This record gives sequence, C-alpha cells and structure tokens, in this order.
Amino acid sequence: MSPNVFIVIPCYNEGEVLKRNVQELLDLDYQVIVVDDGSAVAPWEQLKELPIHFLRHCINLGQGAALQTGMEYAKKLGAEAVIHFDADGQHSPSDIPALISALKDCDIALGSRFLRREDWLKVPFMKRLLLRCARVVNFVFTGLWLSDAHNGFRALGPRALGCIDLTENRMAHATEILSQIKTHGLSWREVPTTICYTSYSRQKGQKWYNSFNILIDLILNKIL
Amino acid sequence: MSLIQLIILFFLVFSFLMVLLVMKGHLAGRLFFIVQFITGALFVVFPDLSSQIGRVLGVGRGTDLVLYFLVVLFYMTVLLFIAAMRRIERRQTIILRQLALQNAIDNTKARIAGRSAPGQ
Repeated sequence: MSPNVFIVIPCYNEGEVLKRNVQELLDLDYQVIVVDDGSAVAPWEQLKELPIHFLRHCINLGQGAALQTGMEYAKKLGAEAVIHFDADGQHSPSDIPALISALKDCDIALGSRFLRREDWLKVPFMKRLLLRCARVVNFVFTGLWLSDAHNGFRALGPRALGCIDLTENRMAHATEILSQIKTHGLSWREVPTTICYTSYSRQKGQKWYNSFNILIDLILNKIL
Repeated sequence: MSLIQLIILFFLVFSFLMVLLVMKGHLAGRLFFIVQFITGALFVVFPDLSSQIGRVLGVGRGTDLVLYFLVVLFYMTVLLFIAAMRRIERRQTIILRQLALQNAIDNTKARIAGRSAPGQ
C-alpha cells in the first residue's frame, strides 16, 4: 500500500457505525482522516483510541465543505491520492484497491453503481430512476456523461488534488467535481463499486425530494 | 402640497441619506439609490406624472405602473441578497476550515505508542 493515500470520511451525527467503518479501514492499513461536520455530539470520544487524523467544523457546513477540508489537510500531509468515503457504511473498503489502481492511467476515478448488473440490482427502483434523471442533469451542467450520479465513492490523484476546489458546501459538490474535471481537463474513469444499503444508511441518506434542492444550488451557482 | 406628500417625502429623504451613509464606497449601489430617490420624489411631488408615463408605456393607471416596478425591484433585491449571503457563506467556510485545520488532531501516533507498549 502506498503510504500517501488518505481516506477522507466526512461525518455528521453518525452513531456506532462510524467507528466500525473506520476500524475496518484501519485493519486494512489505510490512513484515515475523519472530518466531523459539526455533529451535535463530537464523535471524537468514540474515536480517540483509533490512530486517525481528526478534524472538526465547529458548525455544520455540509458534506462538500467537509470533503474539501479533508483534502486540504491531506495535501498538507503530502498526500498523493485521496479517497472520498461515506461514513454510513454504504461503501465497501474492498473496492478501494480498484479505485487506486485506476489512478495509474487517469487523474480521478469515479465509483459507479451501474457498471455491473449485480451492483445496480441492489439499488432500489425509485433511487435508480432518480439517478437516471440526475445523470442527465449532470450532463447538462457539466458535459460529462456518466453511468452513475452522486456516487460519493471516488479517488483523486495528485493532479486532481491540486486543482479541485469545492465551493458547493452541500450536496451539489458531486456535480461541481464533474464540472471542475471538465474545466481543468482532468482525465477520468469510472470504476465499478458495490453499494450496501442498510436501513441505517437509507435513513441517513439523501431523500428524493432533496434532489430539487441540489438542482437549485446548481443553478444558483451558475448565475450568482 | 398635501400632508401625505410631506410625510412620504420626509421618509424618502431620511432613508435616502441612511442608504448613502451605509453604502460607503459602493458607487454603483449609490447611483442606483440616487436614481430611485429622484424618481420617487418626482412621483410624490407630481402625482400625475406616474399616470402619464403609465399611459405612454401602455399601463392604464400610474399606481399599476408603480406596483409593477415594485415587484421587479423586490425580486432584484432578493436576488442581490442571496448573492451576498452566498459570498458571506463562502468566507465563513474559509474561516471555519482554517480553524478546523489548525485544531486538527493527529492521533496516528496512538498506534505506534500502542505497539511499542505491549503491556497495553
């Protein structure tokens, strides 16, 4: 394992799941940066025995902001690559090596739930429908035609780390990354990743109606 | 001049001076309010003026014209406020990020310490 790969985990009001997921990554010898996005109860208490880097926003800013904070910290530590990883246990650590090795021939590797049949069958029907629409929105705003949208699992190589700068604090950052890929001319690839929906992650995850909020954020960012 | 005209003129002048004081160094903003003040004052002093302009623009009554302008102006103001809020939010993010980076906890030594002390 390359010593300079960091896993950035933004979290907001996560329970026991967070510690379990972090522990799992540490067992695989990854370096972990947890960015707490202003949780009501700081998760530091339950994480303090773990050998991780821990940062905290004193108020809640949003997932995009937390990822950017984590990336800036990783850059200070001399990171060569950063993996974005969800705190709620949806992502599988076993997909990380594939993402990292994809970085050999591209600047940014994007996880996708729709490249393998067994993966997309796990996505609930309504969510599948929504994601199909979301990728059209992504295409309109960024010109990138992907098989998946809003998959938070991705790996950024050194060039991507150098120029991606997220200003969308909330969920619209997922589309912002794509438009920055386009503006900076970064090379990208999609990598099949599995997704594991638990009742916990479903409850924590995005509600379908929140996609309107994301859309409005995107439009506002285009004109203001 | 009727009493209502005097009252409105008084408030117009008052808020106009306040705005000019608050918007120090914003030439565009000041010009915007100066134009607004002059138009407002003219409409108050010459009540028929709005009706005449309204007729030229194809709006029946002067009050309708004023109402339409008010709606447009209101939306423009809201939009400007949203833009300003987003700028503030961006700055706030930068500050909070710096704070988070400064207070970052590097706990990775814990593992090394744990390993070197097998008694634990």
